[in-house]
Amino acid sequence: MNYTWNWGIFQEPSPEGVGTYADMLLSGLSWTIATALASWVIAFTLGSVIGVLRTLPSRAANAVGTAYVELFRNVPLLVQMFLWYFVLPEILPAGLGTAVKQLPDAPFYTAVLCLGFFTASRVAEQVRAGIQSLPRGQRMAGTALGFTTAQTYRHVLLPNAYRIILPPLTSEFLNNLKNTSVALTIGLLELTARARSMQEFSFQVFEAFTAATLLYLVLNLVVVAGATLLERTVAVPGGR
Amino acid sequence: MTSTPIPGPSADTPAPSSAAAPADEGLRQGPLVSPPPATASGEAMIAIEAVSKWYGDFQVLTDCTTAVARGEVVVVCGPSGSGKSTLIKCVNALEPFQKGQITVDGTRVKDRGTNLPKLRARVGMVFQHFELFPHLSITDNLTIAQRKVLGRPGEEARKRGLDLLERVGLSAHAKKHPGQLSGGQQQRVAIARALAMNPVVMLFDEPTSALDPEMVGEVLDVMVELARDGMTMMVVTHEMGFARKVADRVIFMDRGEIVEDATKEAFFGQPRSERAQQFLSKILAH
Repeated sequence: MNYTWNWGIFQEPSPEGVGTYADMLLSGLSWTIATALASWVIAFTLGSVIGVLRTLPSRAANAVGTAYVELFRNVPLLVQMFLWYFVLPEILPAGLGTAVKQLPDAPFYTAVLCLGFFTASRVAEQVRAGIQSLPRGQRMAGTALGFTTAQTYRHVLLPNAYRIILPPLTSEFLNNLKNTSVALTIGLLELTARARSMQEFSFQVFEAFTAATLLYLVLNLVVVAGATLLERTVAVPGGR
Repeated sequence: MTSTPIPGPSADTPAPSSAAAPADEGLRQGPLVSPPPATASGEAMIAIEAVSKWYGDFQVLTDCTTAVARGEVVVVCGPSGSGKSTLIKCVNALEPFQKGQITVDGTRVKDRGTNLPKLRARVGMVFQHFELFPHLSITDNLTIAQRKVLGRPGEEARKRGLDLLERVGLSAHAKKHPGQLSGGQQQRVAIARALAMNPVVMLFDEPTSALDPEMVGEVLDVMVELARDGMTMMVVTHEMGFARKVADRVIFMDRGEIVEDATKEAFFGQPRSERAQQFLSKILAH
């Protein structure tokens, strides 16, 4: 292999004119984090609502929840990204479509929406599984005490369901974080996109992707550590 | 409709000293139901009229009719699958039924105009598997419904909850979680949780069936006291000793029908139906 290693490349000025290659990667990392967090807010809230819909004693609510989940989890994420970015502005009314296209940071907003809606379908399934794993008597006990359906979910079912699904939910958060890299296809300058441009400008492909790999790894390990801490904090004394 | 006021602190009960208190103090003196409810009368607290229920094509309840008078203790027994649990769950509309009507303290259960959460808040229910909320402390288990359903201020709800917890002999466990208590202790907390709502009637769905034998007694003791305090009770149970001790009437169910509905004396003396005779001879054989 005819390759010249150059680990000093990170200190060299990037072709953007300001900052070094290291700065470029770190800027990518911050877009990755911002996209992951913003889309998780949507994924968690919407996913919880959809998951609850699938467990309500109402056929209409179940149908809405099922339709959402099956639509959003059965179309590839990349296709969904393209649909949101390239197709949606075209089918909106002309004026609105143009405004959307001219939005500053349009790739960011699109990626947040797309990832949020996609991951919500997966969160929904976990919320549903968590609720359905609780003894039937828990819902009955809440109901028998006079709780409305909303109160039974708020005070009884969800607090227990979330505790049960915390480990798979952590995996889902990590997936969502890694999926932000798909947004490079619509022009979001996140970490993977930045590593690629570093490779193209400097030809130091190994250094660029070694750095990206390590940054993703460290970021995810921080998340895992946080989740472990959270699990310990909310653990129920005496178990369930 | 009666609304039972919350009892004040009773002067004769010692203040709980959680640090020094033994793990399980046993039952304390004093009424579980305070102030005492009106004495037994002919007036029906629960009226069940011609109730039928189906799961799809399968009929689980057939034309069930009975009544529980104010202050009366009625034991419902029968072989498994006879529909006794289903019937008791129809009383507070945990299970819907297709035909007939149930009236609880003057309120029709099957009526679009009935506010079911409000009705259920006045009907205490105790389950086979306790169903305490595992993520909440014992104190929170006792207070959450008082606060969220009845709108009681936190301090008042806490006082009421801890008073009852002391009455069932568990005040040392107020800060623990359900998973840290034995089955019998959990069930006593579950009874206290239901009583904290000042119910006009208590429903028990096989309250001792999931307990280890040595814990059955402590739960039955609370129920016996409750019955002696004049609480209206409908109890699904196989504990015939309890039935003999405190029941006013015994209902025997089989295959979704009320086969026998008799006073305790008549039921244990000479059941009229052959099915009840067979059932009794089986469970009293040991």
